[in-house]
Amino acid sequence: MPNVVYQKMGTYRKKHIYRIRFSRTGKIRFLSHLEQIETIRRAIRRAELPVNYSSGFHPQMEISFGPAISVGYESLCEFADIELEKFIEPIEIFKSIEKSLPHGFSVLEVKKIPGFLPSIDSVVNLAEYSIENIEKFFSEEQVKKIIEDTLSKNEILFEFFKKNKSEKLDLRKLIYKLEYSNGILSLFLRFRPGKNIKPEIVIGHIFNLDENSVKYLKVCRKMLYFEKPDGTLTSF
Amino acid sequence: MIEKYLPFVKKPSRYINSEFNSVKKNSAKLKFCFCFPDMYEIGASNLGIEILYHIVNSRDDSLAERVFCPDTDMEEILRRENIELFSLETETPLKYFDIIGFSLQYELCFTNILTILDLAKIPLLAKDRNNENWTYPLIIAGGPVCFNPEPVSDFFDLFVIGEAEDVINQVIDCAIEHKFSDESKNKEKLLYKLSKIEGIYVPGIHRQNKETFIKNRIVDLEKSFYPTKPIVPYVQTVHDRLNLEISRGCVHNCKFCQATNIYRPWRERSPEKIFNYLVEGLKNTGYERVTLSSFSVSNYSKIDILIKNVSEYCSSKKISLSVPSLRCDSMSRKILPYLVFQRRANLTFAIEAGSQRLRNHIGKNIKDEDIFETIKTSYNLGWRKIKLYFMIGLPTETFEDIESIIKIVDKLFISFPKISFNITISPFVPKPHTPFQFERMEPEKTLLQKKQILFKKLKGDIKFHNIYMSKMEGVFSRGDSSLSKLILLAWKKGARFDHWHERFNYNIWDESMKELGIEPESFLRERDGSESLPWDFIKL
Repeated sequence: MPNVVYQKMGTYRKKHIYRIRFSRTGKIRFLSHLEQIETIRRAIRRAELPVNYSSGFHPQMEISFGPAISVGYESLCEFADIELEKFIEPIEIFKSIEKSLPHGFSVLEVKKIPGFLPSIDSVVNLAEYSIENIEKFFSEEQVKKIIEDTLSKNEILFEFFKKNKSEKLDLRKLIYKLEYSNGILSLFLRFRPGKNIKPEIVIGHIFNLDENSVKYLKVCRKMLYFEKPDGTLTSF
Repeated sequence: MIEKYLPFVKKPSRYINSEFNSVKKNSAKLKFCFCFPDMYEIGASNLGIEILYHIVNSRDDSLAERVFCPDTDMEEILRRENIELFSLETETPLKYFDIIGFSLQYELCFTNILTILDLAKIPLLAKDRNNENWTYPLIIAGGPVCFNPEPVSDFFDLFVIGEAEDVINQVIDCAIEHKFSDESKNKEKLLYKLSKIEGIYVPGIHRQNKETFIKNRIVDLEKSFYPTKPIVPYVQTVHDRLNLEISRGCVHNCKFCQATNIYRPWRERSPEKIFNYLVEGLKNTGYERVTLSSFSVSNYSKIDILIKNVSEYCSSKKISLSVPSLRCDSMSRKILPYLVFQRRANLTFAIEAGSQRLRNHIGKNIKDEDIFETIKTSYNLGWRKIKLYFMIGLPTETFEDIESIIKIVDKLFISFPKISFNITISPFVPKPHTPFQFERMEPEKTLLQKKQILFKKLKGDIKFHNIYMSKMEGVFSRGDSSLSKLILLAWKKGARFDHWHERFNYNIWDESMKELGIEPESFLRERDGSESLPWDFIKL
């Protein structure tokens, strides 16, 4: 059943909302969030889907994106919620967008979602990252030891500067999970409202790496979650 | 290969190679690399390269790739890691291409040519690439700057003078035939054969004979290829939209304008073809903006039909439509109503000079009434932001003419208090092949005085072109072959990206000119009508 929206112009608009999950891998990971948004908008236009536009003098495509991705990160969880004017089988949407995406992007999942769902951006509070290349600096034993020490601490204070003012953050509270296997660090990191700390900063601090060394770490954002008060995770 | 260095540079998306509609071929008889000697975000918007890239790739026997000038941080990495500069598409070192074709759109890109050749480990001077067992690519150039190729003639094997859509196929045919002949290692032979093609200037051959003349190439626009699958960049470029060239040349005869004079005659594409390019182009790119590009949109003979159809189509697809700077005349006023739909594009009018006398003298015969009428129409249609272009240092200009700029802008402010005007002022640079090619370029001292007066008295948001950049542009645009060594020296001293205000360093150029005993005034001075000019051998 479509959700019907009453618009200012006095017309009714039918809307069917689809949640699309993309991956970005390889060199394409160096796109900025804005460049990626523009790329995906253009791909959706090329796919010639019946996307709804906002009304008024400056019609905008009805599309909302997940939380920003940093330059250099791969990702398996880039989200776009698009609003179509009619029902189309998710598999058809999947095929047509996949075909119009540039190399490096891939559609992983398309599903129809109810119109009343809040945006991912407003709900998400935890992200799962995998981080490669730590073995450039440490042996496996060293990495495991450092992780063990880190997790046994009650508090890890991290000082940073914001608008020339020093602020302190307890990194330990942000770490939901930290593991190491097969040469890959797996980090489940909580977001704080308005304070989004980058995983490589956390790893850099824990492993005492300088700013330049941190750039060698290759980060992949694997999934976004909502962590419930009881500590269980749901994905989108 | 380059991927591991990308975390260490600014704007790494410049170096990503998988833009939608870019072409990757595995092999071909002839490999062509197009090069725009500036940053990706400027070069990727160049229509000339876009057209030629697809022409070459449409041939079964050839492939075309692209390269842009790496920014200085990337240059440093390539040098440190000893990596030879490579093409975007397949990361093939430039050395392994058969032809590298530079697009020269403005003079201040010259040092970037050297950065590119040097990073590719290709000798900078054409004479140093004449080794017995010739292995280097042919280094060629095209574009408007080649209408006086002399300042860079030491670096290139040949120049294409004029429009390249047809001649590029002749050059490739000739190069393929040569490559698969017994004499493939003989560069002289190839150059000799190429020198016979109309519109090709081979300095090493033509210079020996003072009598030779080179005729510029002109294409039949309606019949010539236009890309319907343009490359869609990731980086936000200077013209981030679908570009539809509706005409070439200009119907007006502004005496300062080089484009008017080198792209004759005025030619139009048919409305049917343009509409087809619009539909196909939007489908293949997903762009949300379209520009009808022309030196004189309002003079397109069926502009009323064209703009009506294009604007209706754009409106239905939620696409915004824009045009380049408009002439203040009655035809433009008829176009304006079609530009108000969707996201309204900014309007630009080139007024050029403040006084009627000076406008008449430079061949821009628009009247004050035209200016006011056109801006009034724009205002009534809802525009609240308008950009105006003026020039200073025009031939016969006096301080009274400068006051006239202030007067007309004042009047516009009073008449249209709700419009915010952005005013761009550039010094006039005399260009080859124009009626003003003999004129003196105004010295920086009085240009600076005029600039100060305007800054003090002019209302609105003013942007001033850097006077020293214009000065160097003036030196090169009417320069001769003695300037190759200046470009080389300034580049060695660190000159890079001179077209960028924040990077241009006049001290380097000043120092280099002094060191070489080059008097800029000898290129900026007034020329005697009987004097021979470095570009005389090019006949339009």
